[in-house]
Amino acid sequence: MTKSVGDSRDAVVPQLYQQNWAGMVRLAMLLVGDRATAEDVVQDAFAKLYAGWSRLREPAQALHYVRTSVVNGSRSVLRKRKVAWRHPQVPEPIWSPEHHVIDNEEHREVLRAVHELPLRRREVLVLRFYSNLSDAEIAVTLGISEGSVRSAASRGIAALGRTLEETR
Amino acid sequence: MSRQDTETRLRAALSSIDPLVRDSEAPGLVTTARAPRPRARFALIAAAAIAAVIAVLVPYLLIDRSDNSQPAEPSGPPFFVSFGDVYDSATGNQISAIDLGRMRILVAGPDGHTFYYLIEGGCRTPSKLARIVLDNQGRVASTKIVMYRIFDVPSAAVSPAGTRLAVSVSSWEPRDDGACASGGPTELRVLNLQTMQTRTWPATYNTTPYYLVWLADNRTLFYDGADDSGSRSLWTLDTTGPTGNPTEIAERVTSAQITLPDLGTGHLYNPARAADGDQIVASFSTGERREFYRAIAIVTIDPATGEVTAVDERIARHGAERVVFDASGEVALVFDEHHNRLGRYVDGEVSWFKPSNEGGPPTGAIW
Repeated sequence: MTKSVGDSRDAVVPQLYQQNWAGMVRLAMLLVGDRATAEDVVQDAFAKLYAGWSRLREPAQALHYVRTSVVNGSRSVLRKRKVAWRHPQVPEPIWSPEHHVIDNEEHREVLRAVHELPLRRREVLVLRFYSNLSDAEIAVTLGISEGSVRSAASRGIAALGRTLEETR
Repeated sequence: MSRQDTETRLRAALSSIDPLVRDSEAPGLVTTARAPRPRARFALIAAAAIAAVIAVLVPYLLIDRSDNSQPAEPSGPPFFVSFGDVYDSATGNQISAIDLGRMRILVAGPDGHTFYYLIEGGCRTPSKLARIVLDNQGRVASTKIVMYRIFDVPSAAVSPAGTRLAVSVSSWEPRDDGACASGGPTELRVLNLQTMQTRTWPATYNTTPYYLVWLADNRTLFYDGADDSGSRSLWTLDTTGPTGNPTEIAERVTSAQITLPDLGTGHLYNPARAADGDQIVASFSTGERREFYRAIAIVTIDPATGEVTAVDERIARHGAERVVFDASGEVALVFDEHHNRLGRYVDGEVSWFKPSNEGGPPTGAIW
């Protein structure tokens, strides 16, 4: 049990952080749209893991814990932006025309279309097609049923296809 | 554009951000979370106050006063449904099809004819929970909306007597741009199907209840609850006790993660009341694939202690990937996604039904 080896966090968490920081930042970027916010979200997720290490019942699931925290943290950021909608401090997403970090216009177009999807579908598509999680893993990460995952994925892909067709 | 083309373009676009963040750019690990700003703290307090008011008002508003009629008394053999197809539970033969449209079947009543389903909403249209009763030919005999203004139902269960419906519900709230519906925190609701009154255990308990199971006493719920971090535990709850106090959720019995000697550490899926009424049966999976299949087992759990009392690993040799138990806990529907087939699992043996008409794996099956 982790509770009896609380000291192990100083060895395990930094290693986990080094190995997964970039991947988690990319995941958060796809959800929130900009790197600075994504880095904050990921930093908070690992800080929570560190602080809650003694309560973590299965260290092998630490990465899952972090991923869930990143998704929840990203969702929380988007909710706060909802309050400050059109606030000038909300950064432009990486797929906006103002950014040139993604060279390929087609990729920017797809990412914009993903961002237009309802939040749930966006999260499911990113976790399935970027993080390569199974339906069961996505269900647990998002707190929804596997049926909802399949439904959101199916409808998300269909909506995405229609949007991309229209923009051709 | 074909679905496959869309998926290919999506994968390529999502992967295009990989070069933007490199491992070597990781800053040092900060082990303390950023403190919320004063304004954010004020917003949190305000949100908590609003949530408390809503928690008091919503159960009152959700009481259905328009129609207390009970569903028509069904007869004939029990059914199971897979997407919109209705099957005879004993033979696996399809006997009818119902047009589900934007509906998704969630759970069946103990009679095998009453099903509860989600009418999935869209932008500005919250989802609804409804009941459908099928006659002995598998045709729709009656429908009724039993819960309004919800976003999603991660789990649902009907009590053994068919008198209570337990659902974990995420509520509707505006999306970040104010345009579409999105899911908020998940709360537990128990609807008395005779009085149509709802009791709510709010999301402030910090667990999302998955896999609700009623015990034989018709009042105690067993469930697998995940906290904000996704960390999961098993819980029991006396739904007839007073509400409003977090200590009334009964003891946390154990971690939902279980380690089996041959399969390793994994989670429980689709638990159900076992045949004896006092135990819980569930499928178990590590989530890892072994060749074409995920390694699974069936475990029996004592809900009073959370201890695993029996493990059946015989199911693994049949190549089944998913398991759903019927109301008796004796018979399981099993899915073989590799061969796209559905079968019954009884006492270590599987009898396979014919492949689904859907052309895809029949994973939507509900007893």
